[in-house]
Amino acid sequence: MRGRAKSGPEETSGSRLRRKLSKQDRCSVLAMPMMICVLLASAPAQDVPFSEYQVKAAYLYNFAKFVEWPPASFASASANFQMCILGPDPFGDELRNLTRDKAVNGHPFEVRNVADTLQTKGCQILFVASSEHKHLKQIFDALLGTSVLTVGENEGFAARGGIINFFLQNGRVKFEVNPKAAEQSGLKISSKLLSVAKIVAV
Amino acid sequence: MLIRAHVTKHPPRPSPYRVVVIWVLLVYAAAAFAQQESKDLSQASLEELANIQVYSASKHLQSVSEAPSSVTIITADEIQKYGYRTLADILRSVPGFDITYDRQYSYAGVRGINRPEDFNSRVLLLIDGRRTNENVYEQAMLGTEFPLDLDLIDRVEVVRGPSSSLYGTSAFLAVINVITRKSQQLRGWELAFDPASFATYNGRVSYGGSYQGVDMLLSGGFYDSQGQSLFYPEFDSPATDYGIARNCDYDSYQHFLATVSWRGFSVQGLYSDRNKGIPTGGWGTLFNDPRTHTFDSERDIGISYEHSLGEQWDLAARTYINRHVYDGMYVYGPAAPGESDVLNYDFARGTRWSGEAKLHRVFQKHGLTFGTEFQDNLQQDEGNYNISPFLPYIASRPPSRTNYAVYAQDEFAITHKLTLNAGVRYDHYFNFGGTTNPRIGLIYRPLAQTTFKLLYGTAFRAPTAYEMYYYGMGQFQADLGLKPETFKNYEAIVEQGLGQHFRLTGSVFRDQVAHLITQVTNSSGFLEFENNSGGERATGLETELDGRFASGLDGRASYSYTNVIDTTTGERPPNSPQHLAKLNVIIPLLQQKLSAGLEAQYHGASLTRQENTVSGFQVFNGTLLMHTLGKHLDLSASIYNFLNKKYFNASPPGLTQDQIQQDGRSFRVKLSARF
Repeated sequence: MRGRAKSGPEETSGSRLRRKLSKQDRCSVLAMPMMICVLLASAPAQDVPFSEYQVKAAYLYNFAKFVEWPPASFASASANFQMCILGPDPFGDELRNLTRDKAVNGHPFEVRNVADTLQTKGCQILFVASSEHKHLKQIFDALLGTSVLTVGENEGFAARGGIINFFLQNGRVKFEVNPKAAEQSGLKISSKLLSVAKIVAV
Repeated sequence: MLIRAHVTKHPPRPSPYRVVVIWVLLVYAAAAFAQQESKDLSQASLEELANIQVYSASKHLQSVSEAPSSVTIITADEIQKYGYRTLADILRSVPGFDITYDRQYSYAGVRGINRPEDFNSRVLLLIDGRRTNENVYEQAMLGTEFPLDLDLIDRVEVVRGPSSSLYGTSAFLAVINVITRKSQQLRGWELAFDPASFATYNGRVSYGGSYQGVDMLLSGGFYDSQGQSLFYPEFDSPATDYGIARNCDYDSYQHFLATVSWRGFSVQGLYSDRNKGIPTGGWGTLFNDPRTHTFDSERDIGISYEHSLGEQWDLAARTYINRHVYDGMYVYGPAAPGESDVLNYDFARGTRWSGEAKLHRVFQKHGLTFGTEFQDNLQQDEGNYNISPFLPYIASRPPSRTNYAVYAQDEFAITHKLTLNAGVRYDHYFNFGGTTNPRIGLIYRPLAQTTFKLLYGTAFRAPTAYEMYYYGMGQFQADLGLKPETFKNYEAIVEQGLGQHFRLTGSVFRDQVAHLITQVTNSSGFLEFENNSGGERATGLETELDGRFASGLDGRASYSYTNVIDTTTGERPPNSPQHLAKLNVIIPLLQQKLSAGLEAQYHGASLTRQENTVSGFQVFNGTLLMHTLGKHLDLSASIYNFLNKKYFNASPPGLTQDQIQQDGRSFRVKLSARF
């Protein structure tokens, strides 16, 4: 924003440019590492922070424990409890590491990646990756009549018919539940889970 | 008298610093790897899980694959970990972007096209989806002139390529959408204070809360920088203080943001005042005079509404007012000896009222969007006069003008692996009539980890009020029959996931700019604009490797090669580096209590207006961020340009200097508290 009506005269010449570190900057160079050392020494020991997907993986494990599936959704009493991830996998090894050698009600955990809804037969939990949220209608249509706990991480996932949806609040992972959708899928959510969830009324 | 500048530089010798830096990076990366233990959260209760602070925000790397363009997302977490001070700093890390600074404003070049004299009018800047380019110069404010505090940003989405099929004018080279944090993401109080080099102080107070279902976020911030004494050899003579401009590089701003939402409604108001001294003595002003400065103020208010009608329809509507005030004071020497200095006042006042309604419908395999938009330019006043004795040069008050547009887009999932994304927008302007701009993208995902995209799109840039009206006296004059500039883009992209942690992207593109509106000096020595039949043609490739690990180790490396030709001269235009390489790495240390954010940027050689060479240069930045005191306090320390590399940016027209030296090594310390 500096158009001037007349352009000014142009003069140029060449010579070397000089630049020295100012006194202020020199002090800062010394002060910074010292400050860091002092702070590190005085910082109290505390919990190791976790990553977002480590926490979400732990939640999925808890959902398996606090939700009741109808007996018909398992092929047998010792069939695997299948956790399926639809779309690109954001968990890395986290979900597999957390559920390795564990079981719920006698069903050992299995983690599977699925590319589309045709492969979701037998899934107890279906985690819908963020990129798939455009195909929600197709996904929920394909799952009608089945008892699959759908878990998402996009705004509006629960309002559109998903059962559980993750969201971030002040850097903490929280989740909301759509009880009506759970009921329509024949799933019973324990009151313990509902008490820490945000309820989505649809 | 015109003397051609001889600024030749020898190619730099390999520096021992660089080797050390690379080794340090490798050692830290190895250390971070070694520290990756699997942690067992299976014993944690639900309440404990709900209380764990997670510092790596969702980036949804995967969702970028769905967009029919080259997209880069920068999250709030990365803004803290890399110590970004301005939106321009953030954009410097984006592949294909080249930011230049002339000690007044920051200018963005995308894929080799950078014309600072056009004030970033080929880049559309959105805040929460609202157009924020003001309506006189259509300028996107990117440096300290950007009206938001960076701590209030949730993420920045940068889409390279034409998007006029959705957004209309200025969505030419790229669209930058800045999404602010909502009160759900900022609960309670936040205070921040960051002193930095050159007597710079930056402070902010923010509050997020909810009452009776009404969510609100309020924030106020200030910034004050004394700046540096700067040496310009072009002014090295006794009459002009031997080329040293003192107390002229000052920069200060005040910001205020309020977002209130209730059910589907959201009201947002923002206010920003920014004052910058001009140390370069441009346009013939008196060198080393601190009175020469520009003041820019942005005052926006808007209301938006979103509603889902059942499972298939989504409605979004918004209306907002942008008001921009620009005041420039330019001090010239006296007309005759013994008289006082001439103070020239340059100003613009822009007020635009916009409205948009958008309907989204999903049925069968289609995701349809229909939208309509209007922009009523209530005020686009410009003026220029000498204060005393009064001598007017420009007074322009065009009548209110409204533009209209309709657009449609379909995301057609032909098969589960093949998607067609097609959109078109028709814009109508009072002066040149209508323009239609399509965009088509074919996205093929044969495997979960592999995506191919073929893209074609066009864009336009309507002549701005500045180009149409900034000359002559009287009410306003005819707009000289200026037509919009046009842009055509062809692009092919491949994205391949490598294992669980990496993704490799490659793209080749061809861009054609035509009907460039350029400034020429007419016979009376005054600036005028005309619609050239010339243009620019860019061909290039971009490649990028992204990586993310659960431990928080996160990085991106990119290289872009662009060959740009001015179609009239057949030569490379100024400000167009052929090579750009960028590296960003976040390394978690000490079991994630500490994080190191390292940036390296290589900017290849480019030409100045006078056809001299701006040497290639490398800039290294580093930030250490520590979360401490029960997760309520963050402390960070940053070094910018830590090798103290001396480097230059080509200057825009109007400045005596052909190249402007940029900052050497500088520091910042930042303390933020949350409660």
